[in-house]
Amino acid sequence: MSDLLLIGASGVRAYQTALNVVGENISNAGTQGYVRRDAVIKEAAAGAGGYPLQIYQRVLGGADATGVARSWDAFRAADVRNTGSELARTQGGIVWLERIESALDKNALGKGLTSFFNAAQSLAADPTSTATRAAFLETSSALAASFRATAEGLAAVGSDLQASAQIAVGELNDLAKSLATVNAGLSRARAGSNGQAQLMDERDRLLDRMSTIASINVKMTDAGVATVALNSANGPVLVDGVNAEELTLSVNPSGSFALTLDPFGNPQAITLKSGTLAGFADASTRVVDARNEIDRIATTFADTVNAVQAGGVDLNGNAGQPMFDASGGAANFTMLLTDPRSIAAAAAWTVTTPSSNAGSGSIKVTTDPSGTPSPAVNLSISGGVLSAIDPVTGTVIASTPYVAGQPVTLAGLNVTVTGTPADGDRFSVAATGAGSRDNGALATLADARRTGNFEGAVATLTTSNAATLSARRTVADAQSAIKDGAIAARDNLSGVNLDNEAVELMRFQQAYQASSRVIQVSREIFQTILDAS
Amino acid sequence: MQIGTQYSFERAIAQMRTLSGNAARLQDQVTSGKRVTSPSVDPLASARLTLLARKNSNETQFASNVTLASSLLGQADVALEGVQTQIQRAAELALRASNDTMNDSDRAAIGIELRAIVDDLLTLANSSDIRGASLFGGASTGQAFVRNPDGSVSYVGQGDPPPIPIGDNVSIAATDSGERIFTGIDSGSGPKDLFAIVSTLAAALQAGSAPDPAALRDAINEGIAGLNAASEHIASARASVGARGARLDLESERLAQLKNENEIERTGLEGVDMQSSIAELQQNLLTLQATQASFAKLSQLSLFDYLR
Repeated sequence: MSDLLLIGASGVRAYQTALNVVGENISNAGTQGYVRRDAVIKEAAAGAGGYPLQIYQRVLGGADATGVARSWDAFRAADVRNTGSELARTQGGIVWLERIESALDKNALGKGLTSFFNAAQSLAADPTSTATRAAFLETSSALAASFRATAEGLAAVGSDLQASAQIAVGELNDLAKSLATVNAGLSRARAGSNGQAQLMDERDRLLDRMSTIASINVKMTDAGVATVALNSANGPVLVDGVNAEELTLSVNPSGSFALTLDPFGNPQAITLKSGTLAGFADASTRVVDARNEIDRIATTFADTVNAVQAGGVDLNGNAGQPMFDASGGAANFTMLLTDPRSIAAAAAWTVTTPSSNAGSGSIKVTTDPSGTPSPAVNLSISGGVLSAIDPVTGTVIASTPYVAGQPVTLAGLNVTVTGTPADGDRFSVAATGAGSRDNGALATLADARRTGNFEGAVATLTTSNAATLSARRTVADAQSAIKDGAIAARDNLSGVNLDNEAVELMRFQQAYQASSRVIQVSREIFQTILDAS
Repeated sequence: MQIGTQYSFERAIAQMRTLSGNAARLQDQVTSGKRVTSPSVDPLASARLTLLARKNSNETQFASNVTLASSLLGQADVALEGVQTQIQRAAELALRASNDTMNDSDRAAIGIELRAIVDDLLTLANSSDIRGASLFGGASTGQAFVRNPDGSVSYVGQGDPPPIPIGDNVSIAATDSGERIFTGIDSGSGPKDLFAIVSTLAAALQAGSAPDPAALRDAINEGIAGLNAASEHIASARASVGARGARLDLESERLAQLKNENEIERTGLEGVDMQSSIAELQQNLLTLQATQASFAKLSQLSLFDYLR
């Protein structure tokens, strides 16, 4: 009867283990990355007799808990990693695109430019008013501040992004090292042991976290030792068994990122396909592009305004001085004028059209860059020829044929005739003096606004970033749903469901109780024999 | 399909987070009255809104320039009306002087009156505009006309009056140069300025008929002809001012209408459709409440409660 006793005892031992495993599952129901375990219970092999004539022969062996099995599937786990990695790339980019959006939008650069040009139009209506001039200067310095704030905002995005990327690279290196340690443990762990299951859980947790940072491809040995390659199965190897390589991040002169694997051994340049770091790299080129574009707009804008100033005359009768300095890029955009009188609103040459002119022609006059014109000259038109006449002596200084709408050079001046002047029409041209109400330079500025399209460039930058951001959000929603599906599939197998565990608890409890009952029955049978003798 | 306990909690949390995020977004929209709170919410609408804001800002500036130009033209009109009245008076006086019943002392008195008219005309020609500069001074800020030591009046303004921008690539001359208005009046004996016409007449009347009565008669006739020509000249200048004023009235009306249209388009692009937003918010909150309630119920369900 010792057979039955042994069978009962083996059942009690086996179901005790099974109950312990259920208990482990229940207590880890809320543990991140815990994979449900099942006790592996097998019928114990019956021992055959050692000798042919041996009487004692165990025919039944009872049950034996041989170990624990993890409810895990390599493909589902890889699916979660891959979908999570894709999502991490998109989300990693979104954060920074939002920051770029806010730097571009909140500093109101486009509105600042519009206000600047409209303040100039206001000044054109009343060019000598000191109040209007002061208002124009205020608008201009607000615009300069807008340029600086936008550039500084983008610079801050760039440096924060760089710091975040450094942290992510550091984290990835730490994870790789931890994985190498876990790999070492796995190669020593006994198959089917609880310790092995724990190490595998830890390995999967590490792999999950690595996959959110970089695109990884994982191969596993039968013992569960993971080899991690970057991007694809044939990609550069980050973790091989107990060896972990190091990844470093450097910043290119342009501001974009460069990743190098194993920088001190066999350096390899890496471009990641997914993961947060890939998202950061995307964002870094966007930040660089945005900064370059803002610098370009700032420089061309300053050059344009300064050229208009230089071609005009201020309220004191002096040639206009530069208004802005953008030589240090948009971040150092400075306003140079401080005196409202120093705004050059008037054109350098004042044209007077006498009432005696019969035609409807008008002329526009600028100084020829290489010319030295006299301060006053009369221009006369006859038979398609434009003549410059000395206003005092009445002698012709120079003559040239002209075509309406096209500038011609004459007596040190660039003259453009528009409209249809009649033969004999004259115009008197004089260097603009102090206190002029002319607004020719501001009209040139209005033309430069149309051709330069600075506001359009700012709007295009903002809109293209916004469109990318909006598209990324849509992609992130879709990727999020895909990742949820992958998690649900993995969890379907690996997750702990407390109701299931309750059922298992009852099942094993009943089996345990029944096994105890077997022991009791065996004892009673033995007692019966004892009592009979 | 088995659902892990932890996963089911995480799902519920994620769902509730999405719902309350939506509710917060809708609440934001309803309180701010704006649907496009940042460009990425709707890049297309946002690009259009940026254009619209620029257009609106430009048109507001143009409207203010139109207002200024209108009042300048109004001022010019009033000044020119004053000039016409003076010319009218001068013409009446000249007619009276031409009457044979007048003797030299009567004519001299009329001459004195005409001199006063010249002073009035000079004052009118030098009126300053609402910008504090000379209304008829062209591009210069000083006086338009000065009286020379010999009593004649000459134009000292410089340049054509700066046109005021009232639209994209459109500007209007809100004032005229004094030279165009007051000089170059030709009544058949060469161009003369208005002051000279009246002054010459006044001088002839004051000189009297003593040496040559025919010369006086000629001078009076010439004066009358000159004044008639001046009257026509000023009338045409006034007509041109009036025409530009009418154009500005139209422009001002057009800008006001554009402002209205911009506002309608802006509201359409950016504004929140309150009815639908509030309904969506309600629906969202209802779903959130239901999710919370069902989560609370479901999370209470556990087989362990029945293990005794």
